[in-house]
Amino acid sequence: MLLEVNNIHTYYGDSHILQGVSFDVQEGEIVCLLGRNGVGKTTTLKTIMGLVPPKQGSIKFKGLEISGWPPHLISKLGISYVPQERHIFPELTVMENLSLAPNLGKISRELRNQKLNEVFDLFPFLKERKNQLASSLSGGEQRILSLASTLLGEFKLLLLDEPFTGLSPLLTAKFQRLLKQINEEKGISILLVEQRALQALEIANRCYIMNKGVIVFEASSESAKKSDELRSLLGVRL
Amino acid sequence: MNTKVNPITFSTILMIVVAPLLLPLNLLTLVSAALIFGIFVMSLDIILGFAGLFNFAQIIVFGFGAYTVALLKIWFKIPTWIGLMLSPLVGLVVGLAIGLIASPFTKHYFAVMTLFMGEVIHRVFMYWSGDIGAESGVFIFGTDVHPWAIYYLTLLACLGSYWICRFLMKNSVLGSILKAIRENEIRIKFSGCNIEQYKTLSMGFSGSIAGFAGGLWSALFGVIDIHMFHWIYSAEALALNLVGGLGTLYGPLVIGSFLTFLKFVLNTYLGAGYLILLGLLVIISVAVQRMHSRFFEYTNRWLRSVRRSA
Repeated sequence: MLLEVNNIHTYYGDSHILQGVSFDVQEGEIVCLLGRNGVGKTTTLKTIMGLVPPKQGSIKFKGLEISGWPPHLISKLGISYVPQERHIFPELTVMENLSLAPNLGKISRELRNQKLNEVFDLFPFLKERKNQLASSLSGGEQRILSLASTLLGEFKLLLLDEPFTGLSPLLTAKFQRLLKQINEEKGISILLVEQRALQALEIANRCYIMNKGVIVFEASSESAKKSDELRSLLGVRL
Repeated sequence: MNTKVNPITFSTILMIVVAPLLLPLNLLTLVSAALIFGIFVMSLDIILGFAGLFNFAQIIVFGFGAYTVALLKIWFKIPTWIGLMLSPLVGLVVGLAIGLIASPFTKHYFAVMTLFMGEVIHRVFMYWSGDIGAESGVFIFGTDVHPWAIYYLTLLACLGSYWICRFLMKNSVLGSILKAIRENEIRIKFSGCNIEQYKTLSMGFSGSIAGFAGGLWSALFGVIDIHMFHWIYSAEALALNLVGGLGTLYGPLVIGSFLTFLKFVLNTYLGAGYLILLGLLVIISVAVQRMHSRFFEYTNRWLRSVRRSA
C-alpha cells in the first residue's frame, strides 16, 4: 500500500469539511477522486500534503504516519502536489521555475539534464522561452510549466488537482498521455482530483466519489463508467 | 588588442581612488560613513529585494557589529583591526538568531515581529549601557585606524560584498529559492524546501554584511551612540531600498550612499527636515516605478493583441 487515508476529519475554523474520509492508493496505480464543487476534494489533497492538518484520523505513506507533518517534509518523502491554481513563480524565468522542481538536488547533474531534455522534448516552447519570465506565458502554458516543474522532480506519488481545467482538448489529450506514460514507465502512482469525470476515468484504474465530506462510491474505472450511481452522484452523462 | 575605456568611468574610478588625496579628512570621513551606510542598505536588499521580507531588526545587527569593535577595545584592549575582522562573524550569529525567531512568520507578521525584536533589543542595550560605562548611551573609545585605511577598506567592502551578493543571488540555489519565497511561499514548500531554514540563512548572510558595516562605522568614528541603533534607521534603509530598486543590489548601495551623504550635508541646514525630503523621494520613486511597470504592462498587452489580430 502506497497511501492509506483512514477516517480523516478536517476543519476550516468551525466548518467540518472532511467528515471521515477513507481511501487508499496502491503502488503503480492511478486513482481519481471525483465529486461536485465544494465536497472536499481539494481539502483532501491539502490534508495529505500537510497544508491543512487533520484533527482526527491517520494518513500513512509507505506505512509511515505522516499526518501533521510539515509540507516540505512530506514532499521530501516523495509526494508531489500540483495545485489547481497555476502555482508558478511569475517573476522568475521559465528555467528558474524548472530548477525549483521537488527534490531536484537529490539527483545527479547528468540525470537532471536528461530529465530536463525530456521535458523540453515534450513541451518545446519551454526550451524556446526558458529565459522569459513565467508571467509572460499564457494561462495554458503556465499550467504546463507548473506540471513540468513537478515532473522534473523525484517523487513516488503525484497529487493532481483538476489538471485539465482550462486546457484545450488537444492539450488535455497530451496531458492524459503524459500522465499514463509516467505512470507506466516510471511506476509513479497518481491521485487525481477532477470534475471532468470522463477525462479522469479514461486514464484512472479506480475511482472514488465524494459527497459532503465523505467517500460515497468506489469502483474500478470500467465499472464506474457503466454505473448509474456515478451518473446520478455527479449529475453527468458519460 | 583594441580596448576602449569610457572616459567617464575612468575619471570616476580615478576620483574614487585618489579621493583621500583631494578631500579634507572630515569630508573623507563623511564619504566613508555614507558608503558604510550604503553597504548596510544593500545588506537589507537580500532580505527585502529577494525574499520580499521587511526586516526592521537589521540595524540591531549593525549595532552588534559596532559594539564588537568598541567593547573589545574598551574591555580587552584588542586592536580595532581584530574587532573589525570579528564583526561579520558576530553579525552572522546575530542575524541567524533573529532569523531563527522571525522566520516562521510571513509577510506583515514577519515585519511586526522584527520591529518589536528591534525595539526590545534596543531598549535592553539602553538600560545596559549605564552598567558598561556609557551613561547617556554614547561610547567614546577612540579609533586607532587611519581614515584613509577605513576609506579604502570601505571601498573594498562595497565591491566585495556587492560581487559576493550578486554571485550568490544570481547563480546559486539560495538566490532562486529566496525569489521563490517572495513570489509564492506556499508553492515552494511543495518543492521540499524548508523555507524557514532558507530565510534564516539569508538573514545570517545579510547579517554578516550588516555586522561588518557596523564594525567599519565604529572603527571610523571611534564613537558609538546607542540611539543610532533604533529601528527607525532600519525603516530608513528599507525606504532607500525602495528608492534604489529592489533586488538590484547596486541600486540600494549607490542610492543608500548618495542619500546618506546628502543627509549629512543637509542635516546642517534642515535638521530632521531631511526626513521630509526622504519621504517625498520615496513617494515619488514608488509612484514612478508603479507607473513605469503599468506603462509596460499596458504596452505589452496592446502589442500582444496587435500580434494576435495580425
